[in-house]
This record gives sequence, structure tokens and C-alpha cells, in this order.
Amino acid sequence: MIVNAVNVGLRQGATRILHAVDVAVSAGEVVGIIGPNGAGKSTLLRAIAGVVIPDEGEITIAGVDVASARPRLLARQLALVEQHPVMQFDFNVRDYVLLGRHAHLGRFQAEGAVDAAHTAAALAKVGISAFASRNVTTLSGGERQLAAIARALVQQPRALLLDEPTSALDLSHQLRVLELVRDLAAEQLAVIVVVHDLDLAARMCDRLVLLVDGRVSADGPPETVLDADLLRDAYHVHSVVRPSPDTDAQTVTALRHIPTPNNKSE
Amino acid sequence: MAKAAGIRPILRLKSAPERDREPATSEAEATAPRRFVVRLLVVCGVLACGLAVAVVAGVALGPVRIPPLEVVTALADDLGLPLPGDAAGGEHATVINYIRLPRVLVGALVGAALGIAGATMQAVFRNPLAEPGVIGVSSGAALGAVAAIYFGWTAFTPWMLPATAFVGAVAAMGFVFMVAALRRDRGPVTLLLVGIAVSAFFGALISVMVATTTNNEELRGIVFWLQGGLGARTWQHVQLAAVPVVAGCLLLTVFGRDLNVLLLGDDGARAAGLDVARQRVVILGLTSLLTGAAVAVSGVIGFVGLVVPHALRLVIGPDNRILLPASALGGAAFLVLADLIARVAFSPASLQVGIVTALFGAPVFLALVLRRRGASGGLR
Repeated sequence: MIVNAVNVGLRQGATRILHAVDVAVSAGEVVGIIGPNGAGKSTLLRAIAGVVIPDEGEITIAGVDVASARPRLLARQLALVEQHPVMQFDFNVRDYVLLGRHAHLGRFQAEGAVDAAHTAAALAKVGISAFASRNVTTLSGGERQLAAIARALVQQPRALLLDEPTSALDLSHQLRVLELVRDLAAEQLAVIVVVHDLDLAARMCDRLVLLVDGRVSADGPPETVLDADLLRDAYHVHSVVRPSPDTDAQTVTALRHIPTPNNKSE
Repeated sequence: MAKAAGIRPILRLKSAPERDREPATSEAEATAPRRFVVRLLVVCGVLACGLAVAVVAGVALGPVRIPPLEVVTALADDLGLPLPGDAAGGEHATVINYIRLPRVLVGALVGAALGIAGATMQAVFRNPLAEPGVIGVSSGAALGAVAAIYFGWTAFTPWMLPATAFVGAVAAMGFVFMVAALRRDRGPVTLLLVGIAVSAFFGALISVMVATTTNNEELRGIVFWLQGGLGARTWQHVQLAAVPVVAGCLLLTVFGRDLNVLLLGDDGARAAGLDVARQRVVILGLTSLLTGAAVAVSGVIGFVGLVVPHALRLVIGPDNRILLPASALGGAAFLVLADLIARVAFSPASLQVGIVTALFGAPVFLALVLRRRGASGGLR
């Protein structure tokens, strides 16, 4: 088991964001976190990344305790790709990706040939070698996401966390990210990905964790989690779930919104 | 599910010993680290030469013109260098050693401190407009220095001046950072508004002290901080500034890559292995030390920390490992030259150096405001 989160609880002020959440991901597995807006998906991802520290429970990455580990040590075990990667200063893509080597370098050490090689390989893997010299502030949303993934890869992590990597991307970039994630899992990386698009989640992930109001309401392969009854309770919609004849993955078609007295879905 | 092939060995997970044996690299990649060192040395070498020229010009020019050669020999003499022939003790030795040189050196130290502090703050706040003067940190330092004079603390030791200036800078920095963090947004507008408020507040406190002081001598001292300048600086001021500025610049330079990583955002930097909270306290503490030391000997001089890092970034790029030492050297040269212009441009009248830095700085500031757009961390 690479990622092991046990009984994670987190409060923000008086509101409980996460209740007793368990998530486990092994090497080579892609786990998708799905759920309605405000269910705590991104918070869970940030907790696993060590960016926020939960009030209860324990999270380990390859045996390293996230709450107490030094950030440097942790960064060699896991890497985070944020939904909106921050790219404000005029670094070119290659130098931006090279920043991911920070955790592997000593304080007085400059990047060496090894780091350059990792960077070149990550750029090639993600398929953005062609614009390695471009200024990051000029990248489109899809290109930014790919550059951020390349930066995460040069950390040589065992676990990769992606926060809605496809939400702002066009079809072709969505597919590139999907294929990339499958590729990385084939190389024994443990991947956790927060996804909104359930069809994409079904194609990308080996397992889905459905989060509702900060609790795990279902955890299993896409065929069991993408279930009309579960989705009705989570999203308050009537839907039809059936395997796609083209990809064999489940597809979800939402039909009708169910009005509830306390409707949280937007 | 589409499980694609085409795996590159380098990205496969490896055991620790395996990680050290990396794939063959192209020649261009292998020379990357050497290129960095060469770039660092070239940039710093060029700027150091520029600073040397600025210092010689700053000492040579003024109401009394001194031949540059005499300045150079006098400087070499001061540094204890062996002199060719018997050139020491020229006719202008007094002007050089007691009037011009301390003023120029204070200018260089203050410029170095403000330049590197500006570059650092721009990285920490991820904000191109951050600068000690703009966000109110200089005002905090000025209040500290003025308080030391007002309450007579400088009688114990002259070091009270930089010490209280440091405390004032830390207080202002802490306050600005807290407000920015509460708003969860360190965008330019928030920072500028907080800076205006902080400057106005500390300025008001200084005015209270000016209004209630009973001693004329004291008053003159206090007014100096509000306007800032390099007039009548002595070796004592050089002494007060030298240790904190040189130490602060050297220590900050060590954090160059941390500042680069900080540009990934707080969460991104943390996930990339940077202890964001701790490094930020250390880095902002050093920045406060530098600002405090600068303000303690020169009052509030604006725009150096804005103009210098931005001009340099255009030429040498955003890499803070190079930008930080370059901003220190460039800031030193810039302020020495600005002071030279202030002294000779309207001779015999002499301007305050802050007027000259504002003449250069305000247009740069406006250009930055106009150039920045939403995506690149712009004004919202």
C-alpha cells in the first residue's frame, strides 16, 4: 500500500469537512475521488498531500507519516498537481519543471546533469518537449496542466495527486491526461485524482471513492460505485448508468434533478 | 481501459541506489549546471564593475572635482593595497575620506539592502509591486528609528537605532503579511492598500513625535527619517549599516532556490518539499533586518527595491539565485548613481536622493501596473 489514510477527520472552524474517511491506494492503482461540490474532495487531497493537517486520523505515504514528515522527505514520496497551478513569473517551461527537483537537491547544490535528464524525460513523457523554452505565463490551460504534471514527475514520487486535472481542458487535452495517468499507473505510480466528469472517472480509474458531505459513501470499482441509486443519494439526480459500447467503461447520463428541501447541489 | 505502453525507464520508480545511476545525458544537458555558475559569475562580475565605477564617480564628482586617478589611489590606500609609486595622501584626502567616501558607502549599503529586499519580497508575496517602501515596511522601520531618538534610547548605544528600526520593520512586515493572509489573497491591490494604510498610520505616529518633541536638535533628526537622504553621513553610519547589510545579503542569497520554489504557490511549494511557513519567517526576518539597517542610516528611500529587481529581471531572467545577488550589487550602484545625480544635477543646489529614485521609480511602477494582466498575477 502506497497511500494509506485511516479515519481522517478535519474541521474548518465549526464545520466538519471530513468524517472518518479511509482511502488506500496501492502502487499501480488509479483511484478517483468523486462527489458533489463541497463534499470535501479537494480538502481530502490536500490533507493527503500534507498541505493541511487533519484533526483526526493518520495518513502515511509509503510508510512515511504525512503530518510529521519533513516536507523534503515527503516530496520524494508524493507530488501534487493543483487545479490551477500558480505560474506568475517568467520562467520557461524547462526551468519551471526543474523546480520540481528541489527536494532532491542540497542547499548549496545547483541542478546537475541528472536533474536536467529527469526534466527532459518528463517533458517528453508529458509530450511538451516542443515548448520547453516557452514562457510559462503564455501557456494555455491545458499546457499549464501538462507542465505542472511534468514538474510533479521530476520529484520521482511514489504517489501522484491530481486535483481536477481535466476540468478546464478541451477534449484532446482531456484524453492526453487520461492516457498519461494510465501510463503512469502502468509504471507502478499510485495515483489519486479528483474528478468531476464521471464518464472520464470511469475510464481513468481502477477504483472510485464517492465522497458525500465529507463521508465515504461508496468505495469500489467504477462498475459498482457508478450506480443509479448511489448517484441519486449523492447528487440528487435521476440518472441512467450503462457501459459504453466503445470503451466498456460506465457512462452516466443525468436525466432529471430531484428537488429536495435542503438541496445542496448546484 | 486504455493502458498505453511506451514507458521511459527514467520515470520508473527506482530503489535508492538505482536512482543515482541515471540515463545518458546529452551534452547540452550535462553542461547546464556549469552554465548556471558561469551566468552567476558573469552577471555579478559585470554589476560589481558597474558598482566600482559608480563608487569612483560618486567620490570624484561634486562641488570640488577630484581626478578619478586620485580617487582610485585613495581608495586603494584605504583598502591597504600596495600603491604604485608614492601616490598616497593627495590634496583631496580630507574631502574623500571624511565627506564623500562615507556618503557613497552608506549609499551603496542602503542600495544593496533595498535592492535585495525588494527582489525577495516580490518572490515571497508573488507580487511584482512588493517593495519595502511600497508595502509600508520602511515606514515601520522609520517609526522604530524615530522612537529610539524620541525616547532617548540612542544614548545607551548607537546600535539602538538599527535595532529599533529592525523591530519596527518586523512589526510592519508581520502586520502586512497577516492582513494579506487573512484575505487569502496576496494580490497587488490588497498589498498596496495595506501598504498605504500602514505607511499612513506609522507616518502619523512619527508626526505625533515630531509635534511633541521639545528638543530642536531631536526634531531635525526625526524629520530626516521621513524624507530620507544620504546627506552628512559619517563613518559611524557606515559602521552601523555594514554588518547587518553584508550579513543579510549573504544569508538571503542562500535562499535563492527556496524563493524560486515559493513561486509555485504556498501549497505547490509545500508539496514540492519546501517548509513554506518556516522559510518564510526566516526570509521575511532577514528582509526586515536589511530594511531596518537601511532605514536606520538613510531614512525612507523609495523605489530602489522596485526599479532594480525589475530592470535586472528583464535582462537576466527570474531565477532568484542570480537575481538576489544581482539586485544587491545593482541596487548599490543605482543608489550611488542616484545620489550623484542628486548632488550634481542642479549644482550648487542639492536634491535629496529620494527625489531622484522617485523620478526613475514612479514611471516604472506605473508601467508595471499597466502591463500586468490577470493571468500573470495582475491587478484585480
